[in-house]
Amino acid sequence: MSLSVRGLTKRFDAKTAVGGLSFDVARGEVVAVAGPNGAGKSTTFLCLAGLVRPDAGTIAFDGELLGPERGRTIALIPETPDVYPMLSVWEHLAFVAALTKQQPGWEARAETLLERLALSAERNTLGNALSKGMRQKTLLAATVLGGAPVLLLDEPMIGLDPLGQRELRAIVADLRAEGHVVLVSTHLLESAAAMCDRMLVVNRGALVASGTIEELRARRGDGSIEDVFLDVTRS
Amino acid sequence: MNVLATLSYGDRHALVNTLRTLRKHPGRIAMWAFYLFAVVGFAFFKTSGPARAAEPSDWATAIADFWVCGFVVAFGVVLASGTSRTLGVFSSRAEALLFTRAGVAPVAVAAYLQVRAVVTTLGQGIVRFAYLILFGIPAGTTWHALLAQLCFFATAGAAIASVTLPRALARGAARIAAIAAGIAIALAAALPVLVDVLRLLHLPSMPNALRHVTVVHPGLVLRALGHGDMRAIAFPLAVAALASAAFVLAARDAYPELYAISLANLDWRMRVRTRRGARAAGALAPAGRIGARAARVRSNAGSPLRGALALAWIDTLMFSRRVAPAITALAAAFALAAGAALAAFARLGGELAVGVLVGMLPGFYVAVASTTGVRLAPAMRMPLFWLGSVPLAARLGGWTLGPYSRDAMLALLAVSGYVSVSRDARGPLIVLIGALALLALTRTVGLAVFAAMPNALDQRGPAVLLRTLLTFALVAPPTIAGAIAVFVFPAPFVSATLTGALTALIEAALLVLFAAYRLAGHVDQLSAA
Repeated sequence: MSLSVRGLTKRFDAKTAVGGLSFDVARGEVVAVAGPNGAGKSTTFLCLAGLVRPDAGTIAFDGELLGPERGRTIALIPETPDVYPMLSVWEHLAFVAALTKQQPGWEARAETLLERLALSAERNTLGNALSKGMRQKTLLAATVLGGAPVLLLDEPMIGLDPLGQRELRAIVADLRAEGHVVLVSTHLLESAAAMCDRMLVVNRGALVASGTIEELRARRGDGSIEDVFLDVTRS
Repeated sequence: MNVLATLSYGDRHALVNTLRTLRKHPGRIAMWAFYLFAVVGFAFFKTSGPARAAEPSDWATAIADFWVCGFVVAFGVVLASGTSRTLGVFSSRAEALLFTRAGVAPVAVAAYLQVRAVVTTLGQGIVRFAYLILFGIPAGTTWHALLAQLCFFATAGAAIASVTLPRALARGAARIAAIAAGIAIALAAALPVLVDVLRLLHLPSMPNALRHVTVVHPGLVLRALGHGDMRAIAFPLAVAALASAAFVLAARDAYPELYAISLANLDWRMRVRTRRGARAAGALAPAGRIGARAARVRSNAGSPLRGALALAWIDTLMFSRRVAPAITALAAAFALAAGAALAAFARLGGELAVGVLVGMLPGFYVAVASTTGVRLAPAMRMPLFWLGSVPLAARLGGWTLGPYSRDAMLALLAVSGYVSVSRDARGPLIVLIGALALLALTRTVGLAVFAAMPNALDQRGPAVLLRTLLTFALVAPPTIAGAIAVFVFPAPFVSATLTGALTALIEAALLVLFAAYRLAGHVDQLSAA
C-alpha cells in the first residue's frame, strides 16, 4: 500500500506549474524529487499537502482518496523550517499532541522521539534559540508525533552543515524503517542518491525520468547522477 | 530629461509591472474602484450640505485642531527621531550600485531621491488616509474649501517627508538642534489638542483651571483656507522646499552616508518583516528582549485544550512570554481603574460624557482590532498550523480566540471596575454583553477581509475602508434583531441584548467560514501578504 498520485495538475494563469504528474510511493520508501529551478517541485509538494488546491488529479493513500484537509496523512516540512519562536521544543510536541487529539500516553512517544533525534537536551529551549538543523528536527519530531504517515521534506539539506546533513540522512533512514512514505525535494543530487531509494526527475511540471538510483545511472553507462539529470532536463 | 529618464527607469517599469499584475485581478480593480468611489462620495457628501454655521462648534474646532496639530506633531517626531526607519533612500543595494555608477551628477541623484521619497510618502498617505481626512472635515464645506484644505494636507505631508532625509544626514550640533527642535515642536503642537479634549469633557472642576489657558486653535487655518486665505499653505510649502534644497546640497558629497542610511533602513525593514511574521504567529519577544532573555524556559507539560483550541493555548502561552507580566498587570489595572473612574465621573454628573466616551470606544476598537487578519498570513505559514484533521474554519476560530480572550478580559475588568463604584450591575452587564459580541464581530471582520484581499497594498488601501464599513454594516442586523426582540420577548433590555449578541456571534461564525472558504488551498497567495 502506498501514496498514489494521479494526474496532478496545477496552473497559474497561462503557466502550467505541474502538468498531469502521476507516481506511486510505497510505505517504507524514500523518494527524491529532483528538477531544475521552477520545475514545479515545491508546487507539487504544496498540492500534496493540501496547501494549494490542484486544478486536477487525485491523491490517495492506502487506496483511500484524500480530501482537501489531509493534514493527518500528509505533512510538509518546508525549506525554511519555521517554528514558534516563543515555544520550547517540548511545547511544540505538546501543541501537536493537542491539535491532533493524541491519546493519553503521547508523552512517552514524544520523549522517545526527542531522544532519537538527539533533542532531549533542548527540550526546554525556545524556538528562537534553535539552529536550522534543530528547528528541522523539532518539526520532524512534531510531525511524526502527529501521526502523519507521509512526510514531504522540501530542500531539507539547504543550510545544514555536514554533520547536520549526516544526522538528517540517519533520521530519514529511521523513518523509512518505520514504514513512513518520505518524499524529499532536493537539488543536491549526490546527497539524494545516498539517502533515497528512487528518484523522480521533473521538468516544467512533468515527470521526465524516474527509477532507482542505479537504474538512472545505467542510462548513461558510467555517467554520474548529475549527468543523467542534465540529460533529461535539457531535452 | 535624459537624467530623469535614466534614474526613473526602474521605478517606472516597476509601476507598470504592478499595474499589469493588477489587471489580471478584476476583483482587486473593483475594490480599488470602490475605494475611489467612496472617497469621492465622501467629498461630495461633505460639500453638498447646507453651508456651515458662522461659528464652528467646539467639536468641529477640536477636530480641526486634531488634524492640523497631528501633522505638526508628526513633523516634530520625524525631526526628532530621524529618517532611517521611515524612508528608503536607495531602495536596494542594487539601486545604490546602479545610481552611483550611472554617470549622473550626484546632485541630480540626490534631487531624484528626495523627490521620490516625497512622492512615495504622499502617495502612501493618500492611499491610507484620504478617506479619514475627508471624514474629519466637517460637512457643509465647499469644493473650493475642500480642495484648499487637501492642498494644505498635501503640502504638510510633503514638509514631513522632505525633512526626513536632511535630518538623517545631520551630524553633531545640527543633529542635537534638530532633536531639540523636534521635541519642542511636537510638545507645543500636542498642547492645544489636550486643552480641547479637557474642555470637551466638561469636567465639573475644570473650567476654572482652563480659563487661565490661552486659547490657541491651529485648526482655524483650515477655516481660513476655506475662505480663500491661502497663506496657511505657504508655510509647509516653504518648509518642504527648504528641507529639499538642504538635502540636495548636503547630499552632493554624501554618497557613503546615503548608502549607510539605506542599508540601515533595509536591515530595519527586514527585521520588522521577520518580527512581524513571528509576532503574527504569536511568537516573538519585543526587539532586544530575545538576547537578554534566557533561551530556556520551564516547559508546560501539555495543553488543557484540544483540537483547534490548542491554537488559543499556544497563543496565550506565547503572549505570556512575549509581554512582561508587569505590563499585563498594568493593562489589567488600567482597565479596572478606567471603569471605576468612568463610574465615579458619571456619579458626579458626567453621564453624557461617559456615554460619549463609551460610544466612541467601539470606533477606536474597530480601527485597531479589525486588522486581525493581517497577522494571519505568517501564522498560516507555520507548518504545524496545518497538522491534523481539524477543519480550517475551526483552526481560524481557534487562532482568533487567543487575542479575543485577552480583549474580552480587559472589557470584563473595565466593567467590573465600573460596577464596583456604581453598585449597579444591570447597565454595565448589558454593555459587556454587547462589547463581547462586537469584539468577536470585529476580529472576524478583519479575518474575512484579509481572506478576501490578502495583498499587502490592498490591505493598506481599500481593505481599511472595507473593514470599517463592513463592521458598521454588520452591526445593523444585531441592532434590528435586538429591536424586534424588544417587542416579542418580556424583559426588553435583556432580551434585546441577548438577541443582538447572538446575531452578532452568528455573523462572526459566518465570517470565519467565509475566510476558511477563501483561504483553503490558496496558501501560495499569502506569500504576497
